[in-house]
Amino acid sequence: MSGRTVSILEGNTFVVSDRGGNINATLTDPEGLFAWDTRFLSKWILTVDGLTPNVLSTDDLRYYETQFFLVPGTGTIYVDADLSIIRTRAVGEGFSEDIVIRNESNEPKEMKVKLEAAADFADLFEVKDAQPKKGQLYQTVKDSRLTLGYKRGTFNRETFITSTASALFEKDGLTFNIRIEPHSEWKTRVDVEISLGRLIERPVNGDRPQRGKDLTQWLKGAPSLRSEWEPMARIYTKSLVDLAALRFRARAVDEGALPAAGLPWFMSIFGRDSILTSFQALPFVPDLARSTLQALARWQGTRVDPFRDEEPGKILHELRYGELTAFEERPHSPYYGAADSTPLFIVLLDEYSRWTGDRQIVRDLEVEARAALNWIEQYGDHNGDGYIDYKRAMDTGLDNQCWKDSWNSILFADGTNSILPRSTCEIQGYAYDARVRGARMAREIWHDPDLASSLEQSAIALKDRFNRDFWLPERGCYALAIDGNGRRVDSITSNIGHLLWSGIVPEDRAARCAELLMSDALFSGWGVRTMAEGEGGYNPIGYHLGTVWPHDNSIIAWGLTRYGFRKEAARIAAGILQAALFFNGRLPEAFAGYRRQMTRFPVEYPTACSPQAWATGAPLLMLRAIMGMEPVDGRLLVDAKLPIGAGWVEILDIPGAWGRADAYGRGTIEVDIQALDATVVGSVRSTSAAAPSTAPGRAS
Amino acid sequence: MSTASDVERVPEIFRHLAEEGQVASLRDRNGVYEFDIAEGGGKWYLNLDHGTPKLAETAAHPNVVITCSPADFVAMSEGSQNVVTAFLQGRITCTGDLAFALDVRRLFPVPA
Repeated sequence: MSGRTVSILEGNTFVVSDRGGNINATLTDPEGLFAWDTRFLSKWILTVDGLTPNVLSTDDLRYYETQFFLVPGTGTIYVDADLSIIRTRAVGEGFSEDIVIRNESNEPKEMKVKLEAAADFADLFEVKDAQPKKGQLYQTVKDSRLTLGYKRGTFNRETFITSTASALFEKDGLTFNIRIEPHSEWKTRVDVEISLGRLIERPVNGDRPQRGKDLTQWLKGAPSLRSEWEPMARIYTKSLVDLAALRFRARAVDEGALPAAGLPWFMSIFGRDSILTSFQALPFVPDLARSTLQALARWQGTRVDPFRDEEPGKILHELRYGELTAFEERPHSPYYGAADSTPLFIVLLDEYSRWTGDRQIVRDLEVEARAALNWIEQYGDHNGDGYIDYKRAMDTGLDNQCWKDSWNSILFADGTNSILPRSTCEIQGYAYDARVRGARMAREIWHDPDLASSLEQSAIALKDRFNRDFWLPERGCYALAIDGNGRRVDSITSNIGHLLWSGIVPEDRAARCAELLMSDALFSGWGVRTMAEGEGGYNPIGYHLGTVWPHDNSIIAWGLTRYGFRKEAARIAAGILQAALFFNGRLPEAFAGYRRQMTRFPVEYPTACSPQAWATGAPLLMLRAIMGMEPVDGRLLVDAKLPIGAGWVEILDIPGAWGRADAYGRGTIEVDIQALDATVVGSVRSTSAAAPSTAPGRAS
Repeated sequence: MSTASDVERVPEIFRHLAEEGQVASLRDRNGVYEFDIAEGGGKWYLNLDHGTPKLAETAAHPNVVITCSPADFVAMSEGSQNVVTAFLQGRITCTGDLAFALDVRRLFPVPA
């Protein structure tokens, strides 16, 4: 979150306010109370005798609750205050706010306290647009309750505001005329509750979730980590806490908490993001993967629906609940425009089963897994060339349906754009891996040797075909994609690291991939850039054209580990973990691809969300890579290759098929970048948090 | 607005749903839907037993009560009205388990 705003959340309800607790939504500051992808409060301003209090400090250490410490504004210059105001806000389905005003003087004080309230009921997708609403806004006051509402046909959303202390309720808010005796206090609790109209009934004044207790249990259930390099433990704990905040319990599924894509704007079910984050976190909090698999299975595509890019067996991209989705002005009910989420679903299912020893889930999800494998064979390849490709069926869909989902991410080396449909290389790698893993599950758990053989043959054929068609002999590299004209998109990019993860790269080409990944063109000193310096489209601050993405690097490091390039993996881990120190242990979604020697610190790329789920998961997969942790026949194999600066690392109580096990490692790998150094501390502020894109998905 | 024809088609649609047999993607779901079809469409109870829907005379504790007009019910059964957006628009009212309610979309035939 930006330095100017505070965000707290519970499930898919979140509040973005200024540092004094006020909400005053504008096109440039998309503040508000949001739930179910709708803004239920766009104005919430506390004044005392007509003035906005000054902020002393803000405690936003917990993701579900925050406190604002204020003193009355004088309107001119600061004078010693004898009133203090404490706003304590906890988010639930809506929020509750305790307001305490203390009179610290020897004289009684009388004042008028006002809470100005309004709601525009903007869809999350339109918070930065000045679109006129198609329905009617209304406000009513009845029985000491202010109702703010919006109605468009049968679509109805309402916000209810009540107070425990006596107040004058008006259509624009509530006013307290109060008198506080010397050294006494006045307090009230204001409840802001939301209603989804006819969609669903919910208990009024239901119990608030006990998030503090829940967080403690979450941390206790994860392995403990100690390291001679102290920041390692700090980054690890930060990742776990942020993952807790990102857990999302959707009312539309009942499978438990799964990781949402990012806080606060992307607290929703995302296929790719939830799968990759669950994969990254698997050795530490495996339950996330289980919930993710079950929820995505429940929403698996069943029909051909061009508007939603839905096909039978396809795993969704994103599910939303707002007005634009409701009236099919956006396709997110759910939207299936991701060409990689389906093979990644198979990858996660197999990995989860291997790590935890849970074979039952593979049996439970056999129907969905077979449908996903069938999608890869039958539906994913639209032009019949043997590769998964994508092309949105309607203009409301996503242009690029791979993880690099910005419109210009798939460029030729001369900087020109490729055309649709596109078959990006990493998706073919995922499809290969899905077949290999699907074959294992078919043979060992579904007891279907025919399917297993078929998948294995199909995987071998794909690997051969891919290495023939995607290899660029003139560049000694894999093409980024094959485009709609059958041309090989010849930019050198980080995607080759994903190919190593998938296993589609033959041994004799893996070394060349590793060499390229660690070249000055791709490796910035902090991490591997999304696109190599020197390519026509390269831009160190282009979203997918040269920035460094921590999650991308964690996958690359894991891919390098798979092929035995441990020194290279350690080097990437060292760079990314050092970068984390500049962000107080919380890696951003992306940072600029400038050379490390040039900037001396990683320059953050302004993005919509913090924490971002797969950036949060990146240190966890990095740890797995450098500790060399792999499940083998129900046991945990540890083969640590740590950078020397890490000293020793100890991870205790790692959950898995073996019950609980420990892992130890000592730094032995020389890396030729700045040694891991705890003195590299500081803080890099991002620019203002951006509002979400108005296009589907995240990229704009 | 529902027509008399919509109301007349409601029983036929429920009978058809109950004859379809197990829906594979709902094979681990058990529970009871109560459908309150307004405008004379009547109350209907659909017992989902490991994904196999069966009509019941009544149910003491349905997992969810779904209310809608005959026209919307017919439209959903034909695939011309998306079930999820019908919920989001408020064309369907749901009291109870929303996740179970949304599973209804799996019961209706795939539109052409």
